[in-house]
Amino acid sequence: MISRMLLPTFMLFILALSGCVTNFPFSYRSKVTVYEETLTDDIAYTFEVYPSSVYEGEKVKIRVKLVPKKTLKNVNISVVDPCIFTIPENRKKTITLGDLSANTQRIAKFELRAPETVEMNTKCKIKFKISYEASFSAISDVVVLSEAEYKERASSGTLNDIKISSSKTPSAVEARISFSEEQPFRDGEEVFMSVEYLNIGNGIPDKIEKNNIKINLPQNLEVEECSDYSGENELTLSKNIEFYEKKGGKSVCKLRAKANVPIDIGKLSISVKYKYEIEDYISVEVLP
Amino acid sequence: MKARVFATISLVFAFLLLSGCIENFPNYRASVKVQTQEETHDLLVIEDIKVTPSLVFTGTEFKVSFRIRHVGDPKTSAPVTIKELKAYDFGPCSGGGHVLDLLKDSNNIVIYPGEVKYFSLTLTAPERNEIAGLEAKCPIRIKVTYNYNATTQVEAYVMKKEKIEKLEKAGKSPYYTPKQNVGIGPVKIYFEFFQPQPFESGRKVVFLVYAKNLGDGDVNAPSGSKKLTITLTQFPSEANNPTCEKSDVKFFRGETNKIKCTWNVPKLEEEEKMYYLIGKMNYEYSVEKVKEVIVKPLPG
Repeated sequence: MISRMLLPTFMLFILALSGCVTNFPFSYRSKVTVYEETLTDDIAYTFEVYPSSVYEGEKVKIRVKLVPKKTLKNVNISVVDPCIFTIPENRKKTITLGDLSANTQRIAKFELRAPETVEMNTKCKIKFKISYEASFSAISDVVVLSEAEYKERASSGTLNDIKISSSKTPSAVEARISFSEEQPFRDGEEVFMSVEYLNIGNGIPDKIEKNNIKINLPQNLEVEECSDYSGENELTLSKNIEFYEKKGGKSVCKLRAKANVPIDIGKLSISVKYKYEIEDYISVEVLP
Repeated sequence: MKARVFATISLVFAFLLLSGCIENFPNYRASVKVQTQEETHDLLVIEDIKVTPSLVFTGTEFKVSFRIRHVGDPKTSAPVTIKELKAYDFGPCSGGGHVLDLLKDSNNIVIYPGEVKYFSLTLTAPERNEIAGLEAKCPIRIKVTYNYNATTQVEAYVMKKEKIEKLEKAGKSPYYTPKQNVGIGPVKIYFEFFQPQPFESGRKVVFLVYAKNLGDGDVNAPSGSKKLTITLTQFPSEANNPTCEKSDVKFFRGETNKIKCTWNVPKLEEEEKMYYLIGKMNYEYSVEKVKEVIVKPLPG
């Protein structure tokens, strides 16, 4: 058995030494570097570079695998800075991927060429930008109790037995709604609602146009005063939202709770359409 | 009276300055941090000098052998051509003159990174009567001279003003610590910046350039040139090279004077771009090693 193994091992050894086996494992030149997958609230992406180190004048191929977590529109990926590399004329600097559905995988391929001469080993960062349009939506219960119902539950200690459910889509840009009082509200109670826009991702959001934000108030909440928004049940923003250090400002509206039935459960919803950019890079070494 | 007051104030000031009390005295130093990565200092080393036979007696021939090794990394450094290889015999031993040219019979010895070359020379110990029957010493000095290029490449990150503002507005710091890759060889070039990076597109950047001798040998101007000069280029696209007040430098206690240079940062069409500034200096370098050969007198 051992003597049977010896011959193929010996032949493989001779082949490797002769140079016939160029893609022998651990060979320096045929290295594929797969970078760790980057996860954001909107998208997951992986950079793959082949080879991770090139000699002067050689090509480097970069594959960017994108998997959106939700529907994204107008997805583009472009080379922001090719460092010392050049993009051949027949190759694109920006790849338009269009609209992508959740969990569908798309691959963008780039090819760059190293300069003809370098003075010394140069570790270059090739910078990319992924841009897209996405939307955020959230929905929450608003519970208003009649005066009699409120008193009865307060005395029996069952005020918190009414479950208030809420849900939101994972997103790089979020709108957070909070109230000045704890739910359930009582009929006729004055409530202040604050709406705050946050960039919780690592990228940069563009300003949000005022017509891209919609807040639908339930029938059990009436607007009394709301300077940044207009409308009664469907609130529309009266100014664009700009982000400063991850925050897009906070608006406060004065509302009045109204119970049309003893236990009035309404739905408050918000939807935000936003444009977002993520910048990232991969390192490629150019050897002289 | 005025002169005495002036002299007293000057004396007190000088005393304070020398005592270290005035720490923040204005000096010509750049304060921006640069991350430096340095390659090997040495290039050619003379090693393993041996004398055979190990006991040298008066009137006998002996051999001094040694090796020269290129200690550079085969992946990153270039081969070196030995320009001169000489042995100096300053003692009573003789070998056909006091200066022995070991390259006399072979031209252009090239040593590749990682390679080792062996050399030897034959000398004759003095006769017993020449050293009065006492033990004597022959200091044999071996000197190798070669030409090499010092190269340093430093990152110069350029960004449009609008992009800097956009990043700052988004709460992301645009500031970047540049990396300086100092090439192989005993002479090293360094950059010092006054302004933080990224540099604003279209602006002017002032920086300092100087060199240090970190090896054990001596630096001289390359053959055919009287001066040591540092030349600067921008990479990629060399049309916009930095300019300096002057290009020639002189070494004093292992370090050159600092040259003030200006780089007109390119006007970008794109949002940002990584450039590299490259400093180069061609130089001649000599390394010496001495071996003392003890000559024992034979009984008369």
